Amino acid sequence: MTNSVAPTLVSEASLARLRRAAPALLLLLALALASLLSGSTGGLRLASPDRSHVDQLRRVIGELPSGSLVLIAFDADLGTYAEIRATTRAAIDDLAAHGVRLAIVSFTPEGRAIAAAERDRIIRAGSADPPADLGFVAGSEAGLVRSIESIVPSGAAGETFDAVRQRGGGIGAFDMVLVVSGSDISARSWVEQVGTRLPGLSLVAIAPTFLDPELEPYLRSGQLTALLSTLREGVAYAQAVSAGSASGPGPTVGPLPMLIGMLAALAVLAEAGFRRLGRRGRRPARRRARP
Amino acid sequence: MNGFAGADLAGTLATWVAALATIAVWSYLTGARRLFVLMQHLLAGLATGYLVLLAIRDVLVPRLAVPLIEHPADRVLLVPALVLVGMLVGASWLPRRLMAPVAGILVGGIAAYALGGAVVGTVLPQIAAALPTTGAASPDLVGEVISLAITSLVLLAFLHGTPRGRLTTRAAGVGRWLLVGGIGGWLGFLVVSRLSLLVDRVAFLLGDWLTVLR
Amino acid sequence: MRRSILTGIVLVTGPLVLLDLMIVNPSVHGAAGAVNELLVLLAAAAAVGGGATLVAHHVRNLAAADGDSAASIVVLLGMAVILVAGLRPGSSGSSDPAVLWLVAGLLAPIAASVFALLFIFLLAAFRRGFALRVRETSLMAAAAAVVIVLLLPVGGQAGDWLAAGAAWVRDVPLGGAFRGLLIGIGILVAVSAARSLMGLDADDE
Repeated sequence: MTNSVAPTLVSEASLARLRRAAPALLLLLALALASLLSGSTGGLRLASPDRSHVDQLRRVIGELPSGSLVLIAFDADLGTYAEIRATTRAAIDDLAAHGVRLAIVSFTPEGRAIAAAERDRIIRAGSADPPADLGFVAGSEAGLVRSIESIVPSGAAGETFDAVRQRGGGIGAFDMVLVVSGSDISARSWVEQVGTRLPGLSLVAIAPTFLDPELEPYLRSGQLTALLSTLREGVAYAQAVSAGSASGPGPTVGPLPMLIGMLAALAVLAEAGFRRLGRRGRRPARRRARP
Repeated sequence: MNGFAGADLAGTLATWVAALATIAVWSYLTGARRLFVLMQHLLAGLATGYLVLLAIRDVLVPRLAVPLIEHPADRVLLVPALVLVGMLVGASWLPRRLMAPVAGILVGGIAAYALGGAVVGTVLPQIAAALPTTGAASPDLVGEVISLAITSLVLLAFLHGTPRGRLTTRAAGVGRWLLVGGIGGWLGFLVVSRLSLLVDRVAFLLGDWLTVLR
Repeated sequence: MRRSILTGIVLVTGPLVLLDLMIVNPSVHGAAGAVNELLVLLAAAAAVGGGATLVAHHVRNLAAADGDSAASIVVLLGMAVILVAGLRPGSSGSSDPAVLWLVAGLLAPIAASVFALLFIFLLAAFRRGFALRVRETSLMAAAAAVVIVLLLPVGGQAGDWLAAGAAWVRDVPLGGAFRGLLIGIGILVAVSAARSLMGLDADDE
């Protein structure tokens, strides 16, 4: 008897598991198919038609004189960097195209991992002048404040390091800071700790979409000079930059898989909402029937 | 292309390992929790190792050890710092009362940066920015007034303690619903943000690994 | 005794850092700079201490055969491999090729894959939320749905309208709500920090 029941139980459990997993697996399959079909997406456009934020960043970068010093603060999270990777690379290309001298620094460990990987990518791509590496600074807010005074590691040698030293050796030596924002040290930390101490410094930020509502008030108040914080803005910016120079890897995310994923999300929200409303609608009827 | 791995043998191997790691993590969706738990532990180990590596290589050695070894006479102030650093490293094994000086410095410093940053960097500038700009300088006065009303109500709901008066309580109630709606809007952004990560990961598997995506 | 030492140090270091933000004085600036440098060192020490505690915890687990041994081995292996790669003689630390390989092959993809799964988990959480708090979840889901619709990657005239709507929602209702939230959080942080600096929280312990 045990022998005849056991296989049924196992198969039922497997079936239940498969049933639970099916929606997610189907979604993955749909996204994979949509990614493969992403070449033919007439009528779809991922790049944001609202160019106000894109134009703002392009203007700020365009106004930098050749030879300016720009600091890129890589503090993105490893988990969410994929969303802003193409935008960040486009910004690096844009800055390089304007003859700007770049330096990179990180105040979070994950940001440092990304910064080192990006610098390695730039070197592998054959860049003659990769960004000067200012390394990692510990201490979060305390580290930010300390870097206002001194940011160049002792013993670091090179043209950009010397230029930073000549201008005081701290964050104030830079004409602009591009914050590649994550959730630990975000552009907000820069505004609060650095912006208050160096009010003349231009702070621009690239951030994942989920940080947009938090950072938008700082852009509106003028504490951030420019901000790109949605995937669509990032794609629009990357397109605008590549239209001028045609360099750097384009965005990997296509509009069709995004559309399918968003429609799936809307379907789940609607289904859950209507199911609940349906249950609520049925409940009083049952109560009335009870007596 | 995520571009982190090169085109050489090491890069190809990194792409394969990354693809297998992705599949291992996503096996959670089929109910294979054991593999997912192991990947989480691997992530925790790697991330902690990386943090310790940075702390030693980029901070403690160049800022503390090297100056103390090379110029001990000039850097006498670093000696108490060395003691405090040693205490914090061994904090788990030391009596709690010994940690009071370290805790005092950390609490004082962190609280001061938080206080200064919050007041000068957020509260005052955001209150100023919330006020509508008057005259022809304002491109959208109606929008600014609506925004100010929402800001005030949300702030009231956020800081509202014991109910005082019917009007205040009602306004705080409205503010609370606006706050819930605002968080909902943020969740919408979060959903799109996370979706882009999922799509990017699928693109990595199809493009970087299987090379079927152009 | 411990509390009074802690309060005393907080009362010296905190106001010193604040004073440096408010006034320009070379002596105050120098002293605040020293506190700042110490904080950076202590943050690094805390990271090393945290790592040491994690190692001790998992070694204890393994020695006592308590808990998930395989998971403990994986944690220790992960730490060891990255520390060896970055601290071995001749290594250039975080920019060493071996460390970069570990980041590209394991650290970044695992983190990215976990975060990618959150899309599915988030939607599942929304479904569960309806069972707990219907009215709040309904409003949140409705607001989220509006934002998702406005962000749909549609081209043409419809895309322009959606983008204009998204910009208005971002600037006016969402911008207003988040500004209120930021000011509120800022005030709470300031009050909480001021209590710590005045030693009031220590007295409450």
